[in-house]
Amino acid sequence: MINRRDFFQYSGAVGVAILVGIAAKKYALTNNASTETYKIFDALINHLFNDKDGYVTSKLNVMGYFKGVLSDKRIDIDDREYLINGARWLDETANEEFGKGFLKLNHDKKEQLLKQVSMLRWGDNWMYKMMSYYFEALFSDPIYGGNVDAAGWKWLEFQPGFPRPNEVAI
Amino acid sequence: MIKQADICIIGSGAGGAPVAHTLALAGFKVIVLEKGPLYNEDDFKKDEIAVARRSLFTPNLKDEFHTVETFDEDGNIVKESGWNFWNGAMVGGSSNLMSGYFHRMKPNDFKLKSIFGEVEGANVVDWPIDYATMEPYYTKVEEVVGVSGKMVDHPYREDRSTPDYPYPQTWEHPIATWIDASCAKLGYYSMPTPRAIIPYDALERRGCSYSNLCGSYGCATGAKSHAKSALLDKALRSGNCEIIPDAFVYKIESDKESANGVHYYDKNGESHTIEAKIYVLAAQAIESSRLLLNSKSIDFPNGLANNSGLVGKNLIFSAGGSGTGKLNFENLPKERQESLLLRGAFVNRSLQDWYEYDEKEEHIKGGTIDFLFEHANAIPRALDQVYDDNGDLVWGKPLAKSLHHAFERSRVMTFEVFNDWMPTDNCFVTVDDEESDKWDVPVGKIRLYGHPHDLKVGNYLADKAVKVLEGLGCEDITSSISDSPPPNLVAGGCRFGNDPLTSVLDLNCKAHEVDNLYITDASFMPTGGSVPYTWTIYANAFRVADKILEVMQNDV
Repeated sequence: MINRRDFFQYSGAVGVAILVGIAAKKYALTNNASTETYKIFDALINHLFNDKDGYVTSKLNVMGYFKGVLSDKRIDIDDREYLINGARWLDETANEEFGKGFLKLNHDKKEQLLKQVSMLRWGDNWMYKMMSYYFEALFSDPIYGGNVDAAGWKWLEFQPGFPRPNEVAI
Repeated sequence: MIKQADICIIGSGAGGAPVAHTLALAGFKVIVLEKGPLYNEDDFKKDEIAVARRSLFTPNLKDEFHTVETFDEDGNIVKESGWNFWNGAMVGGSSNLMSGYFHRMKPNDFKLKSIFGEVEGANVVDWPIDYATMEPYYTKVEEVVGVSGKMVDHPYREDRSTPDYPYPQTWEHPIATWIDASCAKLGYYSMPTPRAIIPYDALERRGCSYSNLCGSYGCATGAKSHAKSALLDKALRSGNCEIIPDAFVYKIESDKESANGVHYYDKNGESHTIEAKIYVLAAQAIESSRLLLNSKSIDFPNGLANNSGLVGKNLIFSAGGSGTGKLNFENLPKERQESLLLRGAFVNRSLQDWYEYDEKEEHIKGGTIDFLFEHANAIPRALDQVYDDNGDLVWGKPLAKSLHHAFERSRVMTFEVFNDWMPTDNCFVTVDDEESDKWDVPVGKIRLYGHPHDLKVGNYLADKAVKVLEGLGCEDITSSISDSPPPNLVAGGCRFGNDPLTSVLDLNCKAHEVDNLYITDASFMPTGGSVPYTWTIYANAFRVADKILEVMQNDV
């Protein structure tokens, strides 16, 4: 018989950490996103969830996780392309409004642009999706490549369920 | 190659497994065909990404889907896509993923028309059997499948042949006593919720590990009383049962009076055939009707067992809805704050005070309220924080503050309301002649309609639940009762009854028109009761299994 305490010990994090590197490689495969797209993703995520505002984003390997998202066949290809297109639309809107791309805007201009874009239907949808995948990077088991050393769980005192996964199942 | 068996069962969930268990243990050769893969307890991890975000246990909607028709505000039929009516394609079916809130149907649920009368626009009928017929099988499920709980007195307590549940309650969260106190002040009869979970090692299974992630997840200990751990594993050990996973049945062959073969595709797309003396269909309500309708022949040009034209009619769901209330730590005593941080324990409280009630000189069938904590999945809880009260996206410091409060300084209570979904002519399954799945088989087409009576009852019950949350000190209380169907609580489509002109199945759930075809999932239910269906599906499948056993023994 395994009682509750034994079960937690048996299923705990000890064995999982060893597999992190291997599993992370498996989830993040090659995909169609350009370097520029990742730069916009990264700038957006660091604006919405900046460590200066209390987040632990720099510890989460969010872009590593996003590489996994963009190559994840369980996510509809149209949805993955929508993420990439959204970055392009954001950049185009930045050029229209400020005469330069999103990456070149200062903090206040980025804030102004995102407030404006979030009021548009596509902007609200796209930003919500980006935030959804950010939260995946924050709360997923570290085997997926995000939430490095359980930094996201620790940040919000979140207790994962057990047994934790020991391989990427998707 | 054609395989032979005494009994061929299509579907391995709560409807199919009791038949496999009963017949295999009696020495008959059973083959179970399951569309989904085989998972064992070691495969079930608490992986929110795979299970909840990527729907690991349900088919990809591009490969397999349903088409759906709804009514717009003007009453026009609108064809929709994107609905997901899959519930868990794997050995053991969706019972693997249930929360296991188990309530018996009440005696008056079996005679809804006689007791409560007609409802205009609805096809309410009495069942052809009564509660006394089903009671021994409810008890059998408690003992064989495993149900834990504690009987207490309340106004709609049903008669039982045993004094109490065979297993004591699972580990309870302290909030259960707060709910009891809130209910007592209101004059309500709070009752422990029976659970299809065993609290300690028993029935050749391990007890609950209180992982904090139960519903929607597979059980890593086997404590959850799902069809595989409770029944199929034992059927397999008898040596008389074979389970074939990844087997999608696309047609049942028949002649004028009998089914005489089942064809399925394996995961490589190759076709195989099983021949048996008796066929049992238990693929869940929508898919069972779809398979019959797709099994056309010279003698059954409209689909197997469908010369009456009734297959797929009177589809029902569980009506009702849910609500939430937030317990904010800043407004609670310190000891309650500490208690609320406890994870894993179950709330286990229900109300059935208004299973029947009177309003405006009308005696009305009511329902059940269950209380539980908000699901522990983290990502939806975080996403709940990203919109402000104006519906605008927030980020930066305000969002960080909301996240900390949501995860560390508050806890959300939830209630669920279960009441009858009125069967009507506007809610049914057919097959879509224009859309096919990855096997090139016509998909199920679902017409959805919720009767206004369902909303009236649901809102009446929700108002009572809200009062309990208010008594607990909850804030930001919400209540959402709608006619949107819960895809995991579906029944009907092949009603049982005594009259072949008004029912597909006889009272033993054998097709009126086919000598050797039984249906043991929730398809048989003409009305659903005001409780989740799974216990009744298990119980009825055991009842039908005994009838099949009689037939087989007489045949020998």
